Amino acid sequence: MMHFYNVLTVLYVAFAVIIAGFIVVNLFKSKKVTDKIIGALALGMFLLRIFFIK
Amino acid sequence: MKFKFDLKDKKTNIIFTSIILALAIAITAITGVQFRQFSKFQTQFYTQDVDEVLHFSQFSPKLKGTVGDSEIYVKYGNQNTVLVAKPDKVSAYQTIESLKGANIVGIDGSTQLAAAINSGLTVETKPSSHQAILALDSGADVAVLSYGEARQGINSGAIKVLPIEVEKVPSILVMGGTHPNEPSGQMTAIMFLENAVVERGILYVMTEVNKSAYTHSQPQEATTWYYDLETKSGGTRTFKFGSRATNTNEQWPNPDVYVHSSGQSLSSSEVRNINRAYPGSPTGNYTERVAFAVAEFIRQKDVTIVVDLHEASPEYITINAIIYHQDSDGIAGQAVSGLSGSMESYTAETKNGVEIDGVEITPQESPKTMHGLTHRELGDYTNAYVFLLETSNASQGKYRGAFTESLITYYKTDKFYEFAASVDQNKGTQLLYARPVSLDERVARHALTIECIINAYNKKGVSRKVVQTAESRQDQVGKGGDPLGKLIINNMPEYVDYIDNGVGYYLKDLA
Repeated sequence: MMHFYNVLTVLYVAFAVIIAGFIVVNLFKSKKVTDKIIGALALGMFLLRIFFIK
Repeated sequence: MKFKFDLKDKKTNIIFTSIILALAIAITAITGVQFRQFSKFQTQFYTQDVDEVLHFSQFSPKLKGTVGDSEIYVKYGNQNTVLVAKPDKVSAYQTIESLKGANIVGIDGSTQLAAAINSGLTVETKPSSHQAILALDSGADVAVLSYGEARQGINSGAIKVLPIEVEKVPSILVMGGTHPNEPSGQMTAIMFLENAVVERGILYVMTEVNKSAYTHSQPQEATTWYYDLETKSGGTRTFKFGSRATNTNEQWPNPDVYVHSSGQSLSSSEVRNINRAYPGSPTGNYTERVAFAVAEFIRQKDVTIVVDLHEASPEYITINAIIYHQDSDGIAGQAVSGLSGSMESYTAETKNGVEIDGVEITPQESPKTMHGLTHRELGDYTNAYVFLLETSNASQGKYRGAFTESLITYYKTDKFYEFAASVDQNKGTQLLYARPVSLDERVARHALTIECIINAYNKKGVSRKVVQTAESRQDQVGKGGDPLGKLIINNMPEYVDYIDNGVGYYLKDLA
């Protein structure tokens, strides 16, 4: 049971890193100021939610 | 060289994006740290006058070591009869049979002595409690004292209370903090915790029934996290404004439909609402485990009266009300209408000469088909007389303006609620079921209603019903049982005192 829990945690963190990385890459790719601000806010919200801080 | 802002320029893009990213991460970190601090913040209560502190995990073991292992504060009545012994002799005297042949001392002419003799004990009399305690040092095994006389020795550890009851007394459980977004409930419980002097009976106080719900805020409401109150000496006490439901850290995910153990279906998020989880289960979900701790505590301690303190938004129909289990209808009716001190007939004049009137508190019987609530399940699954009280709280409502500390205390009125109240007054509409009032007045209403319930219990001379199931208890209402005598709690502020001085005045300064 504990092993299964650890596998899930690794998967969870891996997904979090991939999604956060995706947001950061697209922040650099975008050419509009509004897109960058929205992306930055989304990253903040995402990180807070991921770490259970709503 | 003239700088031109163009995000198509690679260098400009990298610098600008990095700045935005750094700002976002800084704001995220600050927000996260602040919320973490809020989550971990422990509200401090003045517990110097408390005789004993119990924990939920004693009644629901799986809560041990978790955030929801809340405290139950106990104050014993000064007149309560206790049997005490030196710590090394406690293990020898655990049952009343074991006292046969023991050298027992009591105080001449005391009611405690009479209670011991009525229980069949042979007691040698002493002229004073001092003499009785001295006798324990010089050969006596057990002393029969009042808790007030024994308190100093118990607190110092010189003597210990034996688990033998020679006189049963009534008890009351005041439940605050069931819903941490209903602050007057917690504040009323704190008023009892910090001010009440129990003369006879036992007072149990819960200040944070659902402690997990105090570790996060109400989603999508942008609520203030803390509110401060000024004490009599000018000090500050800080309290939290939390969420209605258990934190998702403890219980997640919500099911599509919440099916209560009775079979009742509710919307998914109600699965984390403790007032839909009673009677609870020691092995159920987290909220059910907390609910079970409350129910099991009431059963094990055989609590006589339970009052669960709530608030509702001014536009909600069940407000300024006592909701009672059908077995408690005699007490509820008497509490509301019969007593001269009842809310409806209450009038007083404040320091400023303002005449205040008590509002009408409506008694409402708990619907038998509505499950999971204290007034239904604790009434069905324990032997207690159960009541749930509601007051009018602007900070729960939807008409409100910005959420500030003053929305909680309502020391500064909210213009939208005041507008709604004026429309009701001028056009005869019913936008609000009750005008929102200050924290002082909400606490005053709760406290006076509890006082009325206690008075009604004492006045009716209700006999304790000793039964095992809800069905058999129904049959025995008013048919007797063990009379417990009166529950006497003193030193609580009067209704007008709260209005005159504010609740902060009755909060103690923390050391």
